[in-house]
Amino acid sequence: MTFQVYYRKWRPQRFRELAGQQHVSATLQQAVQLGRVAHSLLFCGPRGTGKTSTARVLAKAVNCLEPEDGDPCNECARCQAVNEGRFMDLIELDAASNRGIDEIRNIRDRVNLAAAEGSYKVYIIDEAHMLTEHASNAFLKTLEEPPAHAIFILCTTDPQKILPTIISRCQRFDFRRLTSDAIMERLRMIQAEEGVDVSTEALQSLAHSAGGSLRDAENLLEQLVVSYGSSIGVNEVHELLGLGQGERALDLIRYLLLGNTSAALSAINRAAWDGADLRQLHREAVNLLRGVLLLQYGSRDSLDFPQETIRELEDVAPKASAARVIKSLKLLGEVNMRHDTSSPLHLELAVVEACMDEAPAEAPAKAEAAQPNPPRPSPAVQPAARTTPNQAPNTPATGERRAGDAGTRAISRPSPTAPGSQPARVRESGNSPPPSSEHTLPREANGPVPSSTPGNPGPGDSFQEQWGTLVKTLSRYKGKRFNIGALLRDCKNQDVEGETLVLTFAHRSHLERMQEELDDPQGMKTVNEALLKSLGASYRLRLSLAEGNGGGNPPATAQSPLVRAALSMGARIMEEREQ
Amino acid sequence: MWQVRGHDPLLRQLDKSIKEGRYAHSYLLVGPPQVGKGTLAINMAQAVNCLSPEQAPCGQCSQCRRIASTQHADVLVIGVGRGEDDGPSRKEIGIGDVREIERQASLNPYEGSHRVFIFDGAERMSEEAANALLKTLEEPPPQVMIILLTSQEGALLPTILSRCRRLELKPLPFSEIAKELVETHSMDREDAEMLARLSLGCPGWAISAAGDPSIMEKRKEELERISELSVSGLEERFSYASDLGSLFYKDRDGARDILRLWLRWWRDLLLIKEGAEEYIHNVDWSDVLRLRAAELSTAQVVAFIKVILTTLEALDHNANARLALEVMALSLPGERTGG
Amino acid sequence: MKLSCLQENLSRGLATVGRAVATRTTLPITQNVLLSTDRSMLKLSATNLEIAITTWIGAMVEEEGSITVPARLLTEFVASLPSERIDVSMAPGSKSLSLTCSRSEAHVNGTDVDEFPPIPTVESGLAAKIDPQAFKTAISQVVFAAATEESRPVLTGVKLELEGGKFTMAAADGFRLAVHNGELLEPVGEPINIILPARTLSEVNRLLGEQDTPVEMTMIPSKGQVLFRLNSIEIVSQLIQGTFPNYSQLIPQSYQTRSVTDLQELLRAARTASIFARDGSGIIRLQIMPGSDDQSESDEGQRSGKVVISARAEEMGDNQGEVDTFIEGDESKIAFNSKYLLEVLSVLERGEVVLETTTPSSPGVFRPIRGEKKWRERGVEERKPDETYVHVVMPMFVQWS
Repeated sequence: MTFQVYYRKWRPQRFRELAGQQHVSATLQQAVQLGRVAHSLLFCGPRGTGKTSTARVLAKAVNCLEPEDGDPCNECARCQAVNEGRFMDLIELDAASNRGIDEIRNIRDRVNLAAAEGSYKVYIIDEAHMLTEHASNAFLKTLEEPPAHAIFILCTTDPQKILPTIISRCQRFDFRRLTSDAIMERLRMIQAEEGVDVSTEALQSLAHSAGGSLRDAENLLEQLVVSYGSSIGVNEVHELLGLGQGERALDLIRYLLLGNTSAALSAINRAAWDGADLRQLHREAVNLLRGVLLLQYGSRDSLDFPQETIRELEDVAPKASAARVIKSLKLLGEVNMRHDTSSPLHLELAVVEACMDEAPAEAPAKAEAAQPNPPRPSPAVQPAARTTPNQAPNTPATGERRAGDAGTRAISRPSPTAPGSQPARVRESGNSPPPSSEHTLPREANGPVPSSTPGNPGPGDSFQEQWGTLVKTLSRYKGKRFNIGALLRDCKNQDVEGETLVLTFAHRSHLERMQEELDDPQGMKTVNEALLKSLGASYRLRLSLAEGNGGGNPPATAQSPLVRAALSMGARIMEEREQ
Repeated sequence: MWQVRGHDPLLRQLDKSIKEGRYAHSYLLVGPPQVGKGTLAINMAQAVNCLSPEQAPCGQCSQCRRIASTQHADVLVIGVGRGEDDGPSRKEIGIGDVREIERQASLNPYEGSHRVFIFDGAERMSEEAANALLKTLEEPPPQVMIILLTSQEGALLPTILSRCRRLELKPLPFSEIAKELVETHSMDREDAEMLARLSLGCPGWAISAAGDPSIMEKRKEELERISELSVSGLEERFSYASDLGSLFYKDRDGARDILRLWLRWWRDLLLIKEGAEEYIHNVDWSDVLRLRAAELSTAQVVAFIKVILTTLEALDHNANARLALEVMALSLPGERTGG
Repeated sequence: MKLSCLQENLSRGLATVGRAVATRTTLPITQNVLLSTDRSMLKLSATNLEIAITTWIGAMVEEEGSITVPARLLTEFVASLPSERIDVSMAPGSKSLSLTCSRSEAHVNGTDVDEFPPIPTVESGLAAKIDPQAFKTAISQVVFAAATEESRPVLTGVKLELEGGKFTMAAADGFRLAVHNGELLEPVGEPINIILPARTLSEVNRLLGEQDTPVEMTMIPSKGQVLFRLNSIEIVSQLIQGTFPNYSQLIPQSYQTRSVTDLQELLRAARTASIFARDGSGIIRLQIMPGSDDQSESDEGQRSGKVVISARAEEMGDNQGEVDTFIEGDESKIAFNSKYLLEVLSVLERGEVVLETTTPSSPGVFRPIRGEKKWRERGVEERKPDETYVHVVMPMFVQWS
């Protein structure tokens, strides 16, 4: 016997081996026992749910010389002939190759001929949805009154495409997608027989990804065995399936919801360059967006994410407007990754569109009321903002840029609820000293601008806007090794301390890369020029690392329901104090 | 020797399963165009037919050589290909092709030990053909291997996917391709890096472009036209659409490639507008792209990208090519009247 | 390459291999014919990757060489020439074949031999020898019963079994079965069991013609090929993969009624009925009726009677015919598809036919009786059927009124 793939090797041979379709197999088995098998049957169901296997078992059962309670014995000459594919009275046709009226007439003309080898002539007509209308019509009479020795089993994944007149003449059985449990049970059996060791968690993950198709699951299992040998854990499954892109997806939706198009595009492209499965990224991003939506509507309990992820989502949820969440979900949900699976374009389009058109006035959810000024998409709510009237000089045609470019989020968070009116440093800004309003940004043409309480609202003149311009300008510039704009995008906080601009990075590697670029005289020069151009002043630069891991984590206070409520109304955390 | 570049884990797995005789009868090779799917499929055909199983695919034995030169009677590549000189190109892989391979599959191999059927561009199978293939794909006779190649996995029927062992060829890191070009095609570093980047990680394209300067020439011409058309008048745009329409009639893939150039160009514009210039594709054109980007709004760019996508889809569905392309030309923003 | 040969020989040779030239273009070079010098002969080969045919024709060879050229072009050109000497030549290194005959000259551009699929050779293997005319009979009695549609490739083939000094050829399409048993000229060393494409056997049948020297058959089952060696022709065929149905189970072991009828009379009546059957689902009904009681029963319950053959065309009319018969057993009824009935009766050559039936829903079995005597003149023993051929036809379910 030559090697066979699992789904052929382990094809069920008896009713009782058919996984997950007890409602079908029990009925059929009983019909065989009572000798009351219908002569025209229709098996509907998604791929890999056992339609053809069941049809073959039934063909054996009705012809078996020594059936056991309606189950075929698999021992007698007829059963063996079926199993070896040489039984004359089992005729398997695919309707795709035999879809025309001539082929159907051929069947019809011969249907009155007696069975040669067995008691029943069984026709299994796979992909029955491919029959043409003419052929279907020609088939009707045969299906309505098949001779006593003939059984027709029509199988299809697509019953909607079958003529109602055909359906009404058949006894219909609907094959369901298999539950994960049913798949797992079958996989366990195969795994044991094949002598491979697959962890329960791995099996679960595998069963979950099979989309209710046993054949898909069996194929995946086999592929795991081929790829990783006989001992398989959940990591192997994730690797094979391209799962585990939670981090990336989280980054993506965070930038998306904050309207930071540039960073979101960057997140997508970096995933693509790393060879990540973009379809999976897309799927997970949509799931996370859905999570944000649920959180915004207060149904935290219905979230099915790890605690950590939920915390991240809770951080994002209050900062994004409900409208944007819905819009993003809609646009991303519509993305069809069917074609060009390796191209990021469709995701990019959705991201740009989700961030587009949004009136600059749009504010975070429920924040409008608390907002005296024309609200900005930036989550920062500025009670005491100062304007800087001059536009950044070199802003390209996209002058109408939405706010929310990189860095917006962490720039400063003065809050009306904070006890001290002095803007304190944000926790994430790490080891940089608290910027105060005294630390103004010297400008050539204008008065000082408080960097830490960046300005309100006039389009294009806030620190964020300027920072955004800077990032964009520098994204055209590839340094010695890295794109400096991209590196700056990873910069979580920018604080001005006198003439020093403190750039805080969440990850050491990003900081080191930036340092490397700044060590290069050419890189330094470019950055300085860009600073001058975009911010209108020259600064010394200092790089610092955020405390703890991931500058994006919300402060512990944010976990308190009261603070969360305040946050959702547009408040900002200024400072946390140990009591 | 496996001739596919990169993809070491995948090759190890494949090599092992072929040497142990545990290979599947149906494979699906997924990956972008020119990433090496065709080469891998040919290598697989050699491996199962090779006369030196220990070194399979040795590339030296008569079997390997005949397969490499597409003369082997048992290794059949089915694709849409280009049309005859004046005739139209084939639109799809039809049911006739599937019936023919079914007939051949039932016979013992002619000169080798395995019949191998390679569907190049499996997504081009008609619905009828794909459905007709399912039975053979699921339970082919012994000594038959079916390899489906696709860059659009999602366009295949789930029932097809579910019957195949899936191997994914991801784009290679640019550095790997650049290295290859420097080492084996003695290119200078800078050119190699540029080609590697333009190849989007697909060595097939990079290597042919390295060996054939006309490919880059052609790209330059096409991009020049694309760039010019952004500021040209309606008349030129229509004439361009008509030329592209006639090309499509003869050489579908060629015309699609040009539309993909359009798509990349416009994606670059989008990335520049949205501050992600470091990810643009046509890096050597960034100055021009920046200029063009400045003349357009993001909304215009987004809208036109959608038009290109719709056009590509319409062509895939056998729409009137010229009409579809003219609609595209009409939707191109930035028309100069009277120009 | 340089040689000369006679136009009629070349033309005949090309026609012989022409049947193996590919018509489909999956491998375009298979539309070529391979010409090569082989000692003092010109060898012609063609293959469509299912069947390869090689033949040799006499030639005056001056320079060795080989080339492949488009088969159709060459065949049609050669056929149009007068029946005279043809000079064939090709300059070394060139790929253009020059042909000169009388005052006509042609250049045909060819392709290198290396690109041509290798013509399979079967040097050693299990060999058998069969009488050519007996083989032809076997083929014509069996091949037509093979399936023509490809839903089950195995059934488009013919099963060939060789064991000891005997061979068996069988074909079935799910509705009928033909089995021929024959003798080998020499016993084979070990049993051979293969499935051949029906097309191959039809070609062998055609190319055998009037040949009287034994057919040699050589096989290497592991390579999946079989070689038939005829007079100056070799046919190599791919075998079909798969398992053939266990056909001996399909042959009923008993019968209730056995009738012996003159073949020609029955065939004529069946043909007449088929005219009406054409418009009535192809049904031909046979009623086998013993004669009236006054006819004395002969020994072992055999007596004379008649077969009533009828057919009905919906709304058009009907027809009924009778044939005298000799019956053993009871009255019996059975309906056949007219095509199946006519086809089996047509291959039974001459003499008389035995039809064994049981019930209207069990298969009918046809067997020949050889010899010139009419059944009326035969003794009981002489009415036993000939064991060389069995043909089983599934009956049609019809309403018997």
